[in-house]
Amino acid sequence: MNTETNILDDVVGGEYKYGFVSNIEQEIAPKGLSEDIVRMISAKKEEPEWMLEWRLKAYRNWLAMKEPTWANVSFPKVDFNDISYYAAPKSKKAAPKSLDEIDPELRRTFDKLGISLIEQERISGVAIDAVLDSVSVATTFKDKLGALGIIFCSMSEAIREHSDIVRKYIGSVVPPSDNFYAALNSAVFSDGSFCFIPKGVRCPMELSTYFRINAKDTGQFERTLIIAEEGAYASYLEGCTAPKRDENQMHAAVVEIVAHKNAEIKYSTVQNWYPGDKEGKGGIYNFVTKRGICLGDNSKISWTQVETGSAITWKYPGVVLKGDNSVGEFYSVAVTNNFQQADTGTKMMHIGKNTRSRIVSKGISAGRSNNSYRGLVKVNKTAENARNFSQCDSLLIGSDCGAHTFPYIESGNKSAIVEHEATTSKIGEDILFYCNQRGISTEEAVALIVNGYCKEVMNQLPMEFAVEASRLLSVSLEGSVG
Amino acid sequence: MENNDLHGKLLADFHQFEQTLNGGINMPFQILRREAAERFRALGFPTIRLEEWKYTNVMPLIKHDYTALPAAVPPVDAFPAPPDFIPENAVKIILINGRFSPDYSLPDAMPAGLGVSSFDTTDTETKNMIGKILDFSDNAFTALNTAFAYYGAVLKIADNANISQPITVLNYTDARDAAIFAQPRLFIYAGRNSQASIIEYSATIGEQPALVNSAIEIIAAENSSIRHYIIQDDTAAKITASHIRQAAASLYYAVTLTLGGHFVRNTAVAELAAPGAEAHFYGLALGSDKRLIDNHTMVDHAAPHCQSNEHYNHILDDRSTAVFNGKIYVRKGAQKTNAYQSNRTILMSGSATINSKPQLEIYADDVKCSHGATSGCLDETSLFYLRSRGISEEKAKALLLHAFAAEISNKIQIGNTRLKIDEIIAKRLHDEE
Repeated sequence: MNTETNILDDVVGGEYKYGFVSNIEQEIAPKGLSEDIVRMISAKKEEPEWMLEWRLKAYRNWLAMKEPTWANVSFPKVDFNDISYYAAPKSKKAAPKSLDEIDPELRRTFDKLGISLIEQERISGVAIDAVLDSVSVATTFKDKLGALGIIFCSMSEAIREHSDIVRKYIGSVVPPSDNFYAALNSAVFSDGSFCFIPKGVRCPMELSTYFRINAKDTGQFERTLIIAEEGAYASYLEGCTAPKRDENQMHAAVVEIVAHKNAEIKYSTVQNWYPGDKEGKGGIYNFVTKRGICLGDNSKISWTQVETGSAITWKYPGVVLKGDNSVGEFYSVAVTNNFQQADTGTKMMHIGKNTRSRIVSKGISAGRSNNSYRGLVKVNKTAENARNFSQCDSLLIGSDCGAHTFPYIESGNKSAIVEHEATTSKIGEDILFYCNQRGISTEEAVALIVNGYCKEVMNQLPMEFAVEASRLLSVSLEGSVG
Repeated sequence: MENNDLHGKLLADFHQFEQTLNGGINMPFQILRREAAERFRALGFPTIRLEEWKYTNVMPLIKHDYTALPAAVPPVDAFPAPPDFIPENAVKIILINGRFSPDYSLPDAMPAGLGVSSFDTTDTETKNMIGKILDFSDNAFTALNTAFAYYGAVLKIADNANISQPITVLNYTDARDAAIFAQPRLFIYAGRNSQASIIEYSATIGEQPALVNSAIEIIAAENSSIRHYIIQDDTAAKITASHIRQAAASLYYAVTLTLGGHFVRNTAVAELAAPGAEAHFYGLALGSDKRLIDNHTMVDHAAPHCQSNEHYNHILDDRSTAVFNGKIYVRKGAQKTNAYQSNRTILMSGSATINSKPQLEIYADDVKCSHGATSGCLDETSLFYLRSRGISEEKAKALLLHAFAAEISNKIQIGNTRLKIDEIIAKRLHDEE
């Protein structure tokens, strides 16, 4: 009972908690996008020539592309020349060698977010790569991971120091020409996390990246690349927040995951970008391309996402099931309130034999928000005995919101079994009545039911995130109940 | 957007057609026709780049040199007699090459309460209703049909009339001498508290390419009920569009059985415009060879307290492809909506494909909506069960497929028609004694 009351306290007082702005001296690129800006970013990162060429190619591709309009979201056209494509905290030129050297203001920022970098160093458990605006500011536990041969560092560092691996894999899962936002990201991505787990290594701790937008009028374009070699395992967490601002800010990330034979990667996201205020003013436009490839046999990629933030979410983490017997999973809770719009789902491409995929998507819409599930399950002719099960449930709270389901099922193999089911409803009055009758107030009952409704997905989250995620859920639904 | 020779030719045909309408050129319906032709000019034929035509490529279909204005209309006895699943006592409405042929249509004794006329002979009140609900703004084929709609048939069921004889609409196409692009059109008005069953069937003679692009508008008044059976087993390619607007407490019950035809695209829209309206869509598609069967449905819940139910089954063999695109759209304020949809597919061959897209778009909260879609082969355990009882594998498969098809064909509520259709299905699925 107590926990429920606590949740309600959060509900009552729960506004967006991470809306503060840190006063960190920053270096911001002039607004607008051109080849010069791309060159500048590349130069700032001291990148090799091939990387610059790759970026420029992506940029030229992007120029010829049009923004996708098929998603069930509406927003004023983004002026891509009114965004600054690079912002970095202006600290000492040389990267900090240890955490003690990190700018104290920076450290305070992450402390406020509940990501104490120092603390993390002491209590073992999670290795964190902290990314503020465009650059990675700190990565913890590097040495310990290094001993196992695991490379966990910022993307820019990886490009400089592990150029061969990056060159081999970057763009191999999400090619720069994949879509409008992926092309933009490929041209201007500033940082992100890079993770390489060598053959046979089971990563002993959760790897985590924390993304924070701080600077004004900037876009954040991070790129993450995770590679698990044969038999390797990694669990990766991603969290994100941004200050409260009246203007919309753009976030266009790309995440690529490669799982070789017998490897397993679990990717969990708690997305809590600033969602805008009650009138729908401000908030982050979140246009993300995430894709994993099960390259080798018996590999597995699992996406778990809790989406509570962002004014607009456009995100379809997918898995290409190329290796025989490979497994793809997608667990999602998407909560929208006020004027938020979310169009999210997954793509499962069955290519190998005996490939399996499972999709569980739970949407909750409240206020005047719109929440769409959009997914594709494609079974190629080659995917003998492929198996898919999808379940998409939507819960509606209030009469002004919308919940939509757009699943695409393309099956071209007779031995494949594909199942999809979706339901949409509000919380049953009989269930609420049952709770009321037993002395549980309507608000408490809703919190109880919503938590139960999402349990299947929440159970997939690592401990560290599960607590935060279930608290976020209640906060996001603040004011929508009763 | 002239994307093909046929596009230009049809527009020229339209111009010629317009000249023949001497005097009527400024009639309201003629204005609508001209708008539709303009719309067709602007849209061009749909390509697979359009979401609604993503899986259905009409390009191979429109490469022929069709005429929309056939020179002569053959007599009805040029065509085969109606199949035996059409009840003998049925009222027969005959359209030849897309044109209503009143001479052959009217039975000796018209049932009380049923009025049959054509677009040009019907009363002014009805004339003003025609073309109002079938939207052609984003469908080139519907625009084309509207542009050429002239000798469309009008069925009016009077208030309180209960038409016990099934009304059969027979669409005949003559493709003996030239490639033909027929545009049959139907308008049905069901008066208050009326009841009627309609059977639609089409047949084509001749070896030339034929494309039948039909459109139906149905207005169902309060408390009326319409049962609509569409049996598709034609050699012509078929593109159909239907729009049903339902008033309070009305019932629309459609069973679409696609048994033949190398290319079939059905677009059906039910608009539940007032409380208590109820729509049922049942569909069966049997695919073989290289056939393509595409069913697009949309149930528009525009009012509270409405119900809809949709169930489509596919059996796909050889290199056939089926497309199912079902949308349940619940508008703001359409509270207490119950909507259910299911699409199940059995793939019998490694080269058959199903593209299914069940969609829910919901803007009200007090609703119960669900959909399900499955695709796979025959259930192993069911097969084993039958085999273990001494039934041959072939027979067991046929039994299971037949049962799966019968889920839909059993929805036909005209006894004799149901039995005869079931025989045809059994034969196609090799489940015969």
